Amino acid sequence: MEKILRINMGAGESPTFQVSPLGEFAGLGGRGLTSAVIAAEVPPTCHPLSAENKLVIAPGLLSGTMAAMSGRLSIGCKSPLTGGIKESNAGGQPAQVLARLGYAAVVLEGKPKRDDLFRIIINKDGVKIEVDNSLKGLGNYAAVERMRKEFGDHIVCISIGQAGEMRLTASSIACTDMEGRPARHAGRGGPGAVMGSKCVKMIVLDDTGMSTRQPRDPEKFRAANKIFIEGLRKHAVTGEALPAYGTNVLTNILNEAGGYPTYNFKEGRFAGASKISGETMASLEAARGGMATHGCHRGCVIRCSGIYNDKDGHFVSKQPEYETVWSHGGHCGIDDIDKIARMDFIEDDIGLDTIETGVALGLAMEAGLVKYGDADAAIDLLKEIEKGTPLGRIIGSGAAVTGRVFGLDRVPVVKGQAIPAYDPRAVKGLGVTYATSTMGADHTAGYATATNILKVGGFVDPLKPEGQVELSRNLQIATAAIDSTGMCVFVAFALMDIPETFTALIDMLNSLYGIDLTPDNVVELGQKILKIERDFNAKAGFTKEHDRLPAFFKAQAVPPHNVTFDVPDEELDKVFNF
Amino acid sequence: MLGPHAKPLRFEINEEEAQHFALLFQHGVFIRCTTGVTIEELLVAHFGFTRDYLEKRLTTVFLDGAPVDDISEAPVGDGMALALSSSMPGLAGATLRRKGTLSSMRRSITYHHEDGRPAPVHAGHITIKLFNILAQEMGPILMKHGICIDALKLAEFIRLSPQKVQLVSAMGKNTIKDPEEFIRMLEQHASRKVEIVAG
Ligand code: SF4
Repeated sequence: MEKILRINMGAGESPTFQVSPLGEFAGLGGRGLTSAVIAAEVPPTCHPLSAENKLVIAPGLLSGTMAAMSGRLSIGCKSPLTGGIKESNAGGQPAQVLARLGYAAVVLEGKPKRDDLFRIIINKDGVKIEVDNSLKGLGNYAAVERMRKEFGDHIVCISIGQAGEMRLTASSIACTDMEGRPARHAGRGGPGAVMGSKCVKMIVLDDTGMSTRQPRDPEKFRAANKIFIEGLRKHAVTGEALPAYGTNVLTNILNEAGGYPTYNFKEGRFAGASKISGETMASLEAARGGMATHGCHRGCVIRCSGIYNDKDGHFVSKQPEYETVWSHGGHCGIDDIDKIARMDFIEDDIGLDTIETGVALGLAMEAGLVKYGDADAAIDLLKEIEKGTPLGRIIGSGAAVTGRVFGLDRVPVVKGQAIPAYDPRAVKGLGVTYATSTMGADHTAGYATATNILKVGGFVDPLKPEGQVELSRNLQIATAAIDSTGMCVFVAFALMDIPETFTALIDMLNSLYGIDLTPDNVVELGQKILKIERDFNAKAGFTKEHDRLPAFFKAQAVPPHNVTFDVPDEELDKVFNF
Repeated sequence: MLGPHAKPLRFEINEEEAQHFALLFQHGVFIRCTTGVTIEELLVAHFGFTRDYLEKRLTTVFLDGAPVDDISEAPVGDGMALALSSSMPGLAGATLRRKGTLSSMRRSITYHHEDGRPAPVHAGHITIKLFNILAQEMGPILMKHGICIDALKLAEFIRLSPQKVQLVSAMGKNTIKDPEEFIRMLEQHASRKVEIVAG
């Protein structure tokens, strides 16, 4: 995994490609690599849909090996949604396959001058870039099905749906899962629009004839992986709650805490929460012949996903995640889990970020376009997006655009990106991360990871008022580093609570590459990534005024706790003091 | 809450059937118990859980929606709602965890026993919600003490449950076997509570 594949979509008559060594980017993977390439090679002030922007697709440092959980893919670009740097993360099979093919990154550059749609085929024999206009206007499911018919069921796909082709700013990039379904998405920030602007509909990956990446020290690697897996299995979150109920186990908890944003952040509790909870969903999956415990890629041992069937036992969608259930559920006042799963499928097919789209649907309800709680009307709006009607394009452009078009003043976005599923007035520490993240409002930017073990930022007294600012900083640093490994962010809980699990992760990196990484180096890596990203954003025009939550969070108290977001701006400005 | 003159419909189920009712606890059920004692005392002395179990499994606790850090200090007053969960994922999950290193991130909603004075101890009713794994582990034990729920809420729960046949056969015994008939019966008693006891 020591080469970069660069595909120039704007070269002369036809696209060209070039394979080069990692060079100055050696030692980087995942988010570290995508952000470094974007910062070094993309002009920060360029238009995100112009030829100057690049789309960087990078497996993590551990992807393609036997390391459990190492199949997360990072996709980076200048975001058409936020206007800043973006790393969007997806599960599915592509990271493992791309890494086994030996690529640390695939970079899509330039922009074709003609109106064709392309597919790219990458296998052990090389790279082919072909015009395939028959894929135009297809949803992800139909497009992938066509590729599987042509190349076989063993292939892995990275694709865009109609939303990406229309270059809508809520569009995602789909990755196929173990069943070959395009159900795992790099959604946040509209990367699908960038892929669409390069006129690439589909990347087909085939690792036939390639083998698993071999560590420099196989014995040490195997032993570390074993300890790592044991840690994940014995932790209550990664060994019990996530496998049994998926991330949607959080619905009841956030609702009880009064931090479940309801009716576009008007309230903190939703009366229909238990009808759409992870507990309810898991029991339906079991009863209908679906699956409540399932991995999104081979090698996942937590298996937080599942298969959601209808009452007749037919596939509806992969198990929708908590944030998806929320954005279409409490946010829109919808308590019908079958219809929410249906919307999850439709958005996967059109190629839309389910958080951004769900929040935009709720804003359409707030504007009175359709009634709160009307799931059928919400599904009709999604069909408008699929057809590319003017109304559909507005909703498919995300929450900020929808809010502006309909003249709303309560629009939950930071840096243009929709705020997800956790009310920052109830859990203020999350609000600090939403406000200051380089990515726009992002619940995964500062995950609950091993800051205590890394000792990043030294000892933090949780009882002091500045605690949450320091915690947010430390969490963002640690998360940026973890995002470079290809590890699913859900390993964070075991890393946080079981020191041996964290040591095992470092040991895997060391034995794979024959290096001598220390926890201090991990902190340095996280800081370096954040600095690169902050610097890019500053050059793109972001100031500290962009590191703020929308004003309504300060002005409007949310019941039942009747709290506002009161972390002072000066405190927010201290997050990146390192 | 139970009204002073309300006479609940009472159903006795077999102990081994209690597991089918685990999902009911996420909606909240009423329980008669000693009120005014701390969460820890209530769960240990009244319901028989061990301190070790509470320490290991009961990692997320809410009293009237406020996250509780110290269950040995928080008294459960008459009419309060107690919600219990195991460890939860996500930054929010870690933040809501009791005595967690990230608890400052939700400081403004954290439970505080304001004046520190003991609450009056007497028999009363509380609402208990059990989420996720704890519903399966603690639910059957609480059911031995008897739980109460609005008849209409129970009717809706049965209607939406994939286990409606098991639920109705546990409660209806041999008298009512058809779930729809059982639901209709509950709807006819819309203003009443239903008490379910496992034994
Ligand atoms: S834990 Fe969930 S999101 Fe993470 S890799 Fe496994 S299935 Fe995918």
